[in-house]
Amino acid sequence: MKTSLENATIIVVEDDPNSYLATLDLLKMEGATSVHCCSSGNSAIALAESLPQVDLFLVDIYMPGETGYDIIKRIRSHPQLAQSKVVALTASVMYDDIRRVKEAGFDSFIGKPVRPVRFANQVREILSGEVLWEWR
Amino acid sequence: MRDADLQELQKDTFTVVIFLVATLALILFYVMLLAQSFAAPANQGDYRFWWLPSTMTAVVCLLSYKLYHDDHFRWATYVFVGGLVLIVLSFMLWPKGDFSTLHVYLLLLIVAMAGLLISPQAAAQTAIFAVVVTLLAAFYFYGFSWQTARPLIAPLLMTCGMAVVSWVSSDHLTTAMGWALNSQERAHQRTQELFESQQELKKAYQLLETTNLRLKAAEAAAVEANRLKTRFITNLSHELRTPLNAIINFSYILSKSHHGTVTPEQADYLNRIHNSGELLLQIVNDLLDLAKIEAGQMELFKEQVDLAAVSQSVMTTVSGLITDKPIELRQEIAPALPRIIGDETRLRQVLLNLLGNAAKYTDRGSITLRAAQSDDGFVKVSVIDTGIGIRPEDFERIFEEFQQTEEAFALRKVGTGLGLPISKKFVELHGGKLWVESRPGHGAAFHFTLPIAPADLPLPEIPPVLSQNFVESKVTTS
Repeated sequence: MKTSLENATIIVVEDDPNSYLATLDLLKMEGATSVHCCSSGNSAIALAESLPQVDLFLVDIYMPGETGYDIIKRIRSHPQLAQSKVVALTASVMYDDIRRVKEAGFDSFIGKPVRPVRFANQVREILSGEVLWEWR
Repeated sequence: MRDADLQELQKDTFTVVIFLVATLALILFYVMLLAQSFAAPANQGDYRFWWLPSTMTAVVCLLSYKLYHDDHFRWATYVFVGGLVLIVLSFMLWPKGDFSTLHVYLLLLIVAMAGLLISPQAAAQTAIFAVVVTLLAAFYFYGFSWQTARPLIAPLLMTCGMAVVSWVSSDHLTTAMGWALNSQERAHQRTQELFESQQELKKAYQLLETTNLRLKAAEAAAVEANRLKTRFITNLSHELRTPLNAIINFSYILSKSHHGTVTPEQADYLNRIHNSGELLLQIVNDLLDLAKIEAGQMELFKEQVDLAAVSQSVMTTVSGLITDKPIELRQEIAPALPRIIGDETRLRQVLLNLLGNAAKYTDRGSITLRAAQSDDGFVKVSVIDTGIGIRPEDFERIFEEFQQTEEAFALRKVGTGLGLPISKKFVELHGGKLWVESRPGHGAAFHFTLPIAPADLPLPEIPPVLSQNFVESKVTTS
């Protein structure tokens, strides 16, 4: 079953307010209705457990405390969340970072700065099952 | 052979012989003294004269050593040899009156010694001296007669014979001694040389070790510097992108009246902020590419690339840039264009740079993307426009970082000034060339070449993730 942006439940894990405000607005402008923001892995997992289903996690990589690499491990090993799509949304776009993200098992990669014209479409594509690795 | 050395050796031997003879004389003296004290009284007289040769020997030895010591070597030898001859003859004073010629044979030894220690001439002289003195002494003591001379003939002839032998063999002897001395000298020299070269080797080894240590330190420093540079670039990239995210996105969100309607002026300003942010992002991307190229860390993910497909998608993007201008976009891709080897992402970047420039500096006419196989195993790609063109004197400058021609500057076109230098470097990293042809006012043509993939090169298995947009590189950062 394809999940549309409008129906999707999305959790943004991001410690930088600038970034999560922008992500939130861009998604809502394009019709997303269920977008949540958490500033840490713990609160994201707690929130996800309280929701009936999470379609997509947009996870920053470098955050104080738990990094995106830690968080994807917890999501992947979580019985309820293992099927959710997890996308790295990060300003670390050197080859090293991208490779590490790929190896950590993320479904897709979107580099920051997010390109506002394309962003919602990128999320739609990922929700429909496509794999994106875009960082320029 | 060196005479000085030989003489030195003779002198050394001479002193040894002096001491030897002196010691023998002393021993003989005491032995005889002892023998006398034990002998029967009747025979005691036999030993009476032993003190004379012994004492004479000691005196002769002392005297000649003294002369030798005072640097009168020649006189020392005369005294020694002559003295010994006289000592031998002193046996004629033997009281028994029973004349024995046995001791005369000792002259042989003396002559031989003179030949060895001094010279063949000395042996001859000694022999003559010995013969004359012996005969004189014998005749004096025993009377001038054939009876006296007869027993002396054999030893004296032998003495003369010894002189002759000494003379004849002296050449060989001298040669042999010279050879021995030479060999010794050479051996000594060799040892010295060996020692010196060993010392030099030791020094060279120490130098090598020091250099090695320095080299290791320098290498470690270089590796560390490279690591710091990479980390700096990585950090810089991250730190610039984070605020750019806010600038680019908030200006866009506001301009779309998402948080309340904005006036056209406000929207215009927000667009300016947004475009500046986009430009800044492009500069950051280009600078990072340049930094990686300069650091030798730009690695290409080489695969077989279908240029026709890439051109198609790039042209679509470019058509969006010229919607407000009467420009015809032409694509002249040769049919059955061979695949080339390259990094598709980077080649796309090169094409976008060249076509983007063409779109920027062309107001009317056409922009043509042409690709065809050339004769020398390359594919030649050309981007030809009918824009403002470039003066020949600017052909080199446009490939330098942050440079713009005066004409372009006058048009106030926005650009990073990095697109062409980076494109050129990407093409060169692919093993191709990038150059420009132009006449001012008649448009410009940018050409580049790329090596054709060998026919037998199998298509690489590219995982779906990579085939998207992901450049898998062997990361060189340490």
